[in-house]
Order: sequence, then structure tokens, then C-alpha cells
Amino acid sequence: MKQVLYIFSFLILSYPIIAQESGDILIKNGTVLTITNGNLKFTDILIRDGKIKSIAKDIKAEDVKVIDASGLYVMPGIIDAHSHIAIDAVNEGTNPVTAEVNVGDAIDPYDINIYRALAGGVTISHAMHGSANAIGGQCETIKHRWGAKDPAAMRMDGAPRTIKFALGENPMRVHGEGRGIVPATRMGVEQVFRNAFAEGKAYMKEWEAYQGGVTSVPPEYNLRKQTMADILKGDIIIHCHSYRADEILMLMNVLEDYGVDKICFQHVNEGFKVAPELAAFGAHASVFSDWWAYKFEVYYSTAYNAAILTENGVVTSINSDSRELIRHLYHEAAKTQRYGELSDDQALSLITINPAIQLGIEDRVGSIEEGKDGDIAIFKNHPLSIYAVPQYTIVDGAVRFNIKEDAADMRQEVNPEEQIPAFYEYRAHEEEDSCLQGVFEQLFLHQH
Amino acid sequence: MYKTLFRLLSVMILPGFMFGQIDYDKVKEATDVLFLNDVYVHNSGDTTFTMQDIIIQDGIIKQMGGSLEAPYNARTLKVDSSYVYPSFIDMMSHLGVKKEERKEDPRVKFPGFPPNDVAGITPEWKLTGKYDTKDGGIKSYRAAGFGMAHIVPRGRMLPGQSSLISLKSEDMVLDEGVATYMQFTGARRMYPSTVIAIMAKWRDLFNNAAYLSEHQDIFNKSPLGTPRPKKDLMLESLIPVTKKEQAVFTRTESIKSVFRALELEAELDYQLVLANAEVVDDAIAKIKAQNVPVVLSLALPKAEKEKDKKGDKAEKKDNKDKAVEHPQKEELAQRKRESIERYESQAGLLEDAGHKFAFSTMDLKSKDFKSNLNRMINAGLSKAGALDALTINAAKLLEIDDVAGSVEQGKLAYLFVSNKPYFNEGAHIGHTIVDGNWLEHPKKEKKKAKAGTGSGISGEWSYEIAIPEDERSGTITIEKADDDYSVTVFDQNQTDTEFTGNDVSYNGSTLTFTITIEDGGTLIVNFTMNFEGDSYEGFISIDGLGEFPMQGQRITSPE
Repeated sequence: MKQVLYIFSFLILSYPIIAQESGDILIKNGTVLTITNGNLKFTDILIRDGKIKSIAKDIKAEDVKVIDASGLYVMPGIIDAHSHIAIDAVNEGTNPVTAEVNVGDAIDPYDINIYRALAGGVTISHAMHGSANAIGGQCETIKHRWGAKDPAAMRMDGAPRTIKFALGENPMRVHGEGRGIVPATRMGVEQVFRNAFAEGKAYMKEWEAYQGGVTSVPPEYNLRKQTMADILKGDIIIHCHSYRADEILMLMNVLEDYGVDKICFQHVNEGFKVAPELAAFGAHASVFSDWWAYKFEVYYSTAYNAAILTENGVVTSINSDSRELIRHLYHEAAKTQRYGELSDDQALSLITINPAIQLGIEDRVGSIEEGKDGDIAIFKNHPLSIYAVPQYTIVDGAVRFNIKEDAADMRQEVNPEEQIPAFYEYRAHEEEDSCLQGVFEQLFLHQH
Repeated sequence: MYKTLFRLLSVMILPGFMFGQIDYDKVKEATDVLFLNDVYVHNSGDTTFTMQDIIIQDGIIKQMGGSLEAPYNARTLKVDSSYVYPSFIDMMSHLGVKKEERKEDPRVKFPGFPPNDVAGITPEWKLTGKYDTKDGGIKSYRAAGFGMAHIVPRGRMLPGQSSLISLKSEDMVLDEGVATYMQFTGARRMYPSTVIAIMAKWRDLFNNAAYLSEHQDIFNKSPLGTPRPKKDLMLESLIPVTKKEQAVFTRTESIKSVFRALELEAELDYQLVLANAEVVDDAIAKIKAQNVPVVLSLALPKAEKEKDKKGDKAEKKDNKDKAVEHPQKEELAQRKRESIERYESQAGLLEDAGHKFAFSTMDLKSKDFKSNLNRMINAGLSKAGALDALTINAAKLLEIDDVAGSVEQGKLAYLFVSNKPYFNEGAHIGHTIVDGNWLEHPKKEKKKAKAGTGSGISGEWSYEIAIPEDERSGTITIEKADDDYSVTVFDQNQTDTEFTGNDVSYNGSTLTFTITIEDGGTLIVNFTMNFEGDSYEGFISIDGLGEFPMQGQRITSPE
């Protein structure tokens, strides 16, 4: 029993920032970048029970933790619309359509990258399935509640369901080149979509017939087709890995044929070519600031992409798709001021309210407004400045990152048989392209 | 699981040759009636031992009580004054399951739609034809006190259904199709290859089985005009799961897999058993709320060796090249130690939470069994809790507690005989009776332990103390319980006088303690003994009188 108590006391000591933070906090005297309502100097924010209760000067509140933000910049928690952190499985790359799988089943609340993302002011990320399949798995919008032990605690309850689609080289390479099955070409990718939607539609009708008493016995249950039906019903937002303009137009045509309108294109490097068409369709775009040429279909790119899309009225965000980039999304957003001369609010919207819109959570997060979730990032120097340094990151009113309490070893789980130092164990089996994580092994390694 | 005794017995009387070859070297025992005279019986819930006689016949405990008469045809075991415990039940392992040769995975044209057997989805398979009576683990686990094992097939996501076996070389199968076995182990390069696909596949299979059952019911009610339900043995085998008639043992070593299994149960509602779990602490509240049985793994991460703690070798190596010394080495080592302690503490935490659990031996070498159990006990598990988990809790989980799990008149004869209470230093299991079948396990003579290697000083030692004009001699008995030593001094010069040592301390080579002699006044004598092999040298010191040399040899080792 002694040992148990000992362990317990250690846990409390070593994670001071996790220890039972209430969802109440008062942030005093900061420069508040609300995103949707301009900048408010010398302003306080009171968070009660995890929600922003009031934004005003000189708020008085009893029994509440106070952060002195004098001289600091207070912005809404940064949202990353495309990442693969905090999940144990990224690609079920065994079939061109795997709509039924859900990376939300594989949340890893102990992934140290959650903490590192918090250290970059990121409070929410969109944990996505990879791009191995034309229709990959469902994704999960997670809140970075670092310290929570139950994977379910990371989910942002009430966030709409989302699913990963993929165009172009990745599904062609994995299935066409790798296995000699459809899709081997971009035409094939289109047919995979059309087949899957057609099956989903037929499936929906079969069940409606059974439930309406038209047929006497239940049809064969199929979670994959059921998920396609849910997309057709508008219950799931599509997030599609894309680069080339022709394919982007193709998918919009397919969706139009099936009456689906919720789509956010991811990467969308050639989005600048079809920005008016995207805007007309109501499609969103989540892009890299200046990352391209890592494969053939990504050669035709520009760092002005985000600015062009924004100026054409497309809801645009800048994402990381990387556990490293997620730590400085504020720098990535700032690049749009060099390449495109976006305003501060426009640039910050790319990593706050816009990704929130793309994930369908803009009524709860993405700006500092009364009633919204208490997700806040506090910076020393303006977040779009190259000198910006995150100081505190707050999720639901609980401080999850505090630069002053940033211990050298913040891991939550330690392998009891690890080698010391452990660093190389973590890196030994990692691959650089997390977009196709796990696919290499599936395709090429005979693991016996 | 959840089968009647009738079913259990009916499988037991299947002829032995079905499951193993008859060993012609083995001479048939002259009698299968056994008599255990004056033994101390200990069952779950007992706080003391009760001395009883036991008669075993026809594989059951025929009679128990004081002063029984040995039946005319009984073999009387020489176990007088020994300690009798119900056999342990291994709640999950591959004991006695044939190892299958690794075959090259067949290439499938569409990896998204592989045949079920290739993808590792064969919940309809039972272990029939896959038993290995010659598995060495059966012997070694039997010698460690185990009598039954609930065994599961090898494979991937749904390799098949489990069996219950007796740990003996013939007639070992008690029941088949006990539970469905599930793992979060993906197929190789085909669907389902990842944990996300396995969870999706489970939902898909579960719902399909439930709908198939619904379809069957509709068809059976009015076959005329109703489409025929499809014949699918795989799905049909899951229908009892959907009706909560069969449990699903889900292998969940990591805390994340524990949470994942709990989530599936909450969503679909079935009889989940968290099996071979290594860490459950953060999930205990959910486990209790969902009332899910837990089978804890007896495997533990390797304990730190003494020398690792001191860092002898590693340090020497590092000193050669100080530049590579990791700056946070001690902090990292500390966290690793705490991680090991976390694993050791799980059983105690479940016990404290009042959640009953059993133990599994998967991935555990039998030689580590008792030491791991002791590590868990040192980390907070009670000894009674440990024995419960190994006996009655397991029997209840298998729903065989009416015939197994304790030593009681009428129950199946599964028990073992220990020369001392099971957790005492030097306790040895000399006899096991499994399904009425008796085996003797003679104690192997250990090489004489050298002093300084741990428990090497337990036993009886002679002493001679050279006090001028007053040579003293006698014996010193040293006993070790857990990590504490107790010392008794018996002085020949003062007949019938025993002294108990106080403040006993042993550092690996030197033992120190004091005794208090009340002889008109109070005399405190300090002993210091430096051990070397089977002899020692040292001295006693008495305040005001000085030091006097002492020496002695080993007389006996601990039993």
C-alpha cells in the first residue's frame, strides 16, 4: 500500500499543471485578440466552468485562479484542421473504401505530441485518417486535455462527424500500383467515390423499406455502407486530401450528383486555380502555408494560396499535418502577411475561427466571445511576430501548458522496460510521411 | 463459460485417446483412492487452518472431517501436518494448445475482402484437435499449484473459442466452447489490419449476428413466404454472444486497449471480460460502473536487479566516456522504477476498489509465478486476495464454483499440499492432486547458497563465544519472511532458555541484532555476524564489559 501511495503522490507532484484544475480562471489585463470583435486592450476574461463568462475591464471574481496577462497577447486557442497526433492508427490501407473505421477508436491520450502542440498554443486538433484510401476512415476532433487518462476524455463531445477522402497519387499508389486493383488512375478514384455513394444510397433504401414494413426481414447489416448513407444524409463533413485543380472540380461534380455539400478540401495546393468555383460550391480549403514539391502532383504550388483563397471568399485555414509544424502554426499563419498581405485578423482567422467553421464547431470555439469554450492561448509578443512565445495554453478553463512549469520530462506513460535514455526508442520506427503512416509496412514489409 | 456441470462431466468421460497417446511406460496406479491424514485445510475466506482428514475417490473429495478411518483400498499419503489448498485456476493462457507452424501468408487478390480464416476471423472454431498434452508448461504449472486452465487459441482478431482443461497428461479437456476469444491483433497486410478496423469489424460482425438471429426467428415463425436466412457458421457462432449467453474474453494488456474494450461493451452490450490486463488503474471506475470482470496478467515487467540500482557495471562503462552520460539519467531511471511499481500495484488497487478479479499466466514463465505474486503482495495485494484470485474468483467467473475453487466435501478433487503455509519462506508444494490424479513433486536439493546472495543465511547455526572463564555455545536460528529476518538464540549453558533477537538487520553479508537478558538486572547483548559460505565469524558486545569473539557453522538449511 505504501508503494501505491507513493506513486500517487508522485503523480501529483510531477504534473502540477494537471492536478485538478478547476474550469474557473481569470485572465487579467491582457491585449485580447478576439478575432471576431477586434482587439481589446487592458481587458480581463473570466472563465467559469470551462466557458467564457465575461470579457470586460476590471472584472472582480472571488475564489478563482488569476493569470496576470499584463503586456501579453490573449487569443483563442489555435485549431489545427489537419493532424495525425494522439492516435495509434492512421491508415487502414487495405481497401480503397474504409468508411466504417474511425480513428476516434484509437485515441492515444498519452501521446507527448499533445503536450507539444499545447506548447504551441494549439487547443484543438482534427485527428485524421490517412490518405491511403479514396474513402478513408472517420476522423475525430479532439481537445488537448493533456493529463486526462481516458481516451474518451480527449473527444470534443458534440463536434460533428468528419471523414477523410483522398484524391490522386496516394490511393492510386497504394491500391493501383501496390496491388493492381482499382483505382490505378484518377478516373478510377472517381469511380470508387461513385460506387461507394451508389451503394450507400441503395443501402439506405433497403433499410427504409424494412423499417417501413415493406420488406419482412432485415437487410444485411454493413457498417461501411451505413457510413456512406450517413454522408448522403449530411451527417458527416468530408475532408478531402487533394492537390490538383482538375480532381477538385471532379469531386465537386460527384458530390453535386449525390446532393452532398459539406466538404473541406485539405492541402488543396492548386486551390488558387479554382478558388471562385470552390467559393461558389461552398467548399472550404485547409492548406499549408508554403509546403510543396514533395511529390509530382504537388509541384504546381504557391505560398500565395491561402491569401488567394481568402480573397476569393473561400473559408480557408492553415494546418500542420505534422507533429512538428503543429507547434508553430502562428508562424505559418504569419507567412500569409508576407505572401498576400493579409490583415492580422485575416491571418489569425486561418488558425482559429476558420478551422472551427471547417470542423463545424464555430459556435463553440475559434474566437473569444462570451459563452464560448474557455480555450485560450496567451503569448509573449504578438502571435504573428517572429518573436512570439506561447506562455499559457488553457483548455476549458484549465491550464494545460504553462511555460514556467514545463518540466524536462512531461511523459505520462513510461515503458517499464525502456532503455535509458529512451529518446531513440521513440524515433526508431517512425517515418516522415505521416500522411501515409503504416502503409509502407502493409505494402512492402513481410512481417513474420 | 456458463455451462452446466452436466456438460462438464460429459466431456470429461470422453475416452482419453482422443486427446493424447496412452503412455505405456506409466504403470497404472494400484488404487485411485487417496487418504490425507491430519492436514491443515485452507480455503478462501478462512482465517485459520482447520485440521482434517480427506478421502479422495473417483476424482472427487469423498469425505472430509476429523479422525476419519482410511478406506481399506486407500493409499495414505505421507502429508501429515501439511497444508492443503485448492488448486489454482489459470484464467487464461495457451497451456496445452499446439503451436502451429508459421505458414507463408497467402496472397489475396483483394486485401480488403480476404477469406475469414486468412484474416484471422474464425470465432466458430473450437480447440478440438489442437491440444498438446505434452506441453511442458502443463507439468511446470501443475508443480506450481495449478490444477485447471482456461485456454484460448492462438491467432489474430477472433481465433476461436476457449476450452477448460485439467493440468494432466490424459483426459485433459473439461469443456470446449467456453468463451469467445478476441484480440486487437490485426491481420497481416489485409483487412482488418489496424485497431480501428478491428473495432469497426467487431461492430459489423456483432450487428450482423444480431440481425441474422432476428431473421432466423422471423423465418422460424413463418417460413412460408419469408426469404431464407443465410447459412453462415461464423456469424451463427456469435449469436450467443449477442444474447449474452457467451462471454467475450478480450485480450487487453495496455490501459488503452482496456478503455477500447470497455467502449465497445458500452456501445453493444455484451459479456465482456478484460483478459490478461496488465494495467487497469485509470479505468477502475469505468470497470466497476460497467461491472466487467477482470483477469489480471501475472506477468510483470522485469524487476530492477540490485546491481542495476547501484549502477555498478553501467557506471563503470559510462565513466570511460563521461561525455555520453545522459544528464537526466537518474530522473529517467526513477520514472522507470515508478512505472514498474505501477504494474506491480494493479492487483492491490483492484482489491482496494472491491472489484473481484482472477489471474492469467499468458506470457509468464512458471518460474516467475510466485515471485511475481509476491511482488504484487509487496505492492499492496493481500495474501488472501491473491489466493482468492487464483481459486474461488476464477471458479466463479467460469461458473464452476459449485464443483471447483475450494477444498470441500463433494467438490472435484483439485488441491495441492504444501509443507508450510503457502506464503511462508521455504514453502514447497510436495503433492498435487488434479482431478483426483495424484503426483508427488520431490523437492530439488538446491546448491548451498553462499552468504551474500540473498536468503542464504536462513537456517540453524552453531555458535561459540569466547568469554574468559565462561565459554558459551548454542544455536542461532535465522528465518526470513519477505525481506525481514527473525532470530532466535538458544543457549546450551542456560537450558530451555530462548532469546528473541531485536533490531535485526542484514546487509547481504553482516547480520546484527540484540538480545536482552533479564538476570537480576537488564543486560543488552549486541551480536555481529559476518557470513562467509557456511560459516561466520563475529563478536558480541556488552555495554561496560567489552567485545568477545564468536564463530560458528551452519547446522541446517531452511526446509
